Amino acid sequence: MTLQDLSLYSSEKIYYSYRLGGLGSRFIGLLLDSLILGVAYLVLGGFTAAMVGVFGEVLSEKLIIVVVAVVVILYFLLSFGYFIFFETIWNGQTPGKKAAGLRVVRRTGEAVTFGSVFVRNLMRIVDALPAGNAAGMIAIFFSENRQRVGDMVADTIVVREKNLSEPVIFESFAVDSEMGNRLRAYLHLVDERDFNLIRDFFARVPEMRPEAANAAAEKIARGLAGKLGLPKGETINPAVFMKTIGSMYRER
Amino acid sequence: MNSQKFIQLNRDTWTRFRGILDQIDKKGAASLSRSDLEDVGPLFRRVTAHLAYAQTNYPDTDVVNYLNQLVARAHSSLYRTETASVRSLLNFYSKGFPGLIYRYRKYVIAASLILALSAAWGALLNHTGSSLAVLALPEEIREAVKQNFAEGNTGARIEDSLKPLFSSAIMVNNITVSFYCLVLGITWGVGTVFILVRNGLLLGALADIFAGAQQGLEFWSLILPHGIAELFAIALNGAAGLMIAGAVVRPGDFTRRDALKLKAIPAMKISLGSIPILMAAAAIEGFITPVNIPPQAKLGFAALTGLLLGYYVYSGSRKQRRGEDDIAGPVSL
Repeated sequence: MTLQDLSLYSSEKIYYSYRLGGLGSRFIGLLLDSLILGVAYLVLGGFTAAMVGVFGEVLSEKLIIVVVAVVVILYFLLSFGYFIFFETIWNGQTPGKKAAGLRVVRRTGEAVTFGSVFVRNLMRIVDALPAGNAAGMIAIFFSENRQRVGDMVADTIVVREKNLSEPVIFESFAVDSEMGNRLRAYLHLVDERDFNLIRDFFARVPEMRPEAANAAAEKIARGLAGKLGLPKGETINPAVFMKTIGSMYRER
Repeated sequence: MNSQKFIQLNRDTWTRFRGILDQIDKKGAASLSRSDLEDVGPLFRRVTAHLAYAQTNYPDTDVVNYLNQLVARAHSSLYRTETASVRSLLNFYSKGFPGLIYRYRKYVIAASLILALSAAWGALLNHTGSSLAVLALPEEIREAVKQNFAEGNTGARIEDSLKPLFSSAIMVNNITVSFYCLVLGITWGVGTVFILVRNGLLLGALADIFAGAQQGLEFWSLILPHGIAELFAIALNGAAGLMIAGAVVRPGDFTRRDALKLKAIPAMKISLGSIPILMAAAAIEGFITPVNIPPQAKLGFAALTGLLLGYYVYSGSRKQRRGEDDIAGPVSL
């Protein structure tokens, strides 16, 4: 658990943790949402201008004014309603938040409610004070759970939702039986963390540059050999050494 | 069991659960098939059990991170505390909202007093010709009003075609001001009180000008038909702002943070509840106030809106005393 995590105790009586969204990712989310809103304003403004400019002489003045009246209301709905609408129907996400991998949840880990979404977004007025979202940024930086003022009042947090890939399994390799026999006595010293390291390494090797992979393999193998108290010479070929240990642990 | 066997044994369960979560995210829980729906609860509990097992036996490994992410994601989309519906909305306006107003009547009264006192202050400033009167009423407005009087033009005769625009602009403005009233409560109430006082001063000063020009009846017939509802809604939002301010200024036994969370719920509900009142007021202001009928008829209409609102709040007080605790309404926090 790091400082940026929030650990919660679920109704199933287990601990699980959320990764909190920091200033950076939240800035990206807000930027994207602002861009979308900006485009929407442009479309709305362009539509109004087109109605008044192009059809101004064709349509009656009365109709034009009705159009403008509706546009005023639409503008209001857009500026106040964009975040509230999306966070309500998309369970705490807006298009920008989705792209930045963020989601708003209640501080207790449940889905947000309309009420909390409404409050946290109205409070943007306060978070924007005195200029450039300064209050909100300071609050996010200093608060325990990375909350801006709106989050504190609505009791919500913004969590990062990274879609982790499924845990890999260790492929079965042909074991060097001679080395295997020598290592068997040390196998009880290998634990899950070591196994995880080996498994992780072989899962990533295809994406690594060969030199980097060799260097990493040597480092891991040497550390492991040191831990097990193996005589020097076992790690002459780090990859084979790790494959052997991994395969034997896997079958244990 | 080592983690390799653990993963091989349970991988299918996790994949299936993840697929269901993806579907909930994309198309909503209603799109789940019957068997998926029946399995989602047991699957979730099984995955949480797997997480607990992995946390104990394989700490700090990929499996734990993966399972943790699955559980966290599922938790925030499976556990919900409310489902919004039309019926709960109706329930809120028929019972919850008036009940809330009655329960927090002290704040509503306080906000109304601030409005009324500052209106009296504005009238007094204007009446005595104090140099401070510009605070209440900017010089340009005063000049415009005087000029209109000179032209024998007292009413707000809005051109018919302009009415929709007028109405929607007023509505947007009033709702925005209301939101500021609520939100600025967090500035220890300074912002909320400032908005209330400014509106009160303006109202008082204008009333005094019209009274001075022997146009009192005309003025009230222009203000009150929509004004009663509008002032009521502003007092409500002032009250909501004061509730937030109260939590910050005087949290009592709670920490400021907890007090804020507790008070923010009813304050937000009161503010949300006032939106339809503001919408109605704006419609009246745009379409009924400028109609060319005798001032007395307009005052009659104003009295009617007052009676209706009074009865609405009274119905809330009755339900409160009968002990119907329907305050919850549709929007819980």
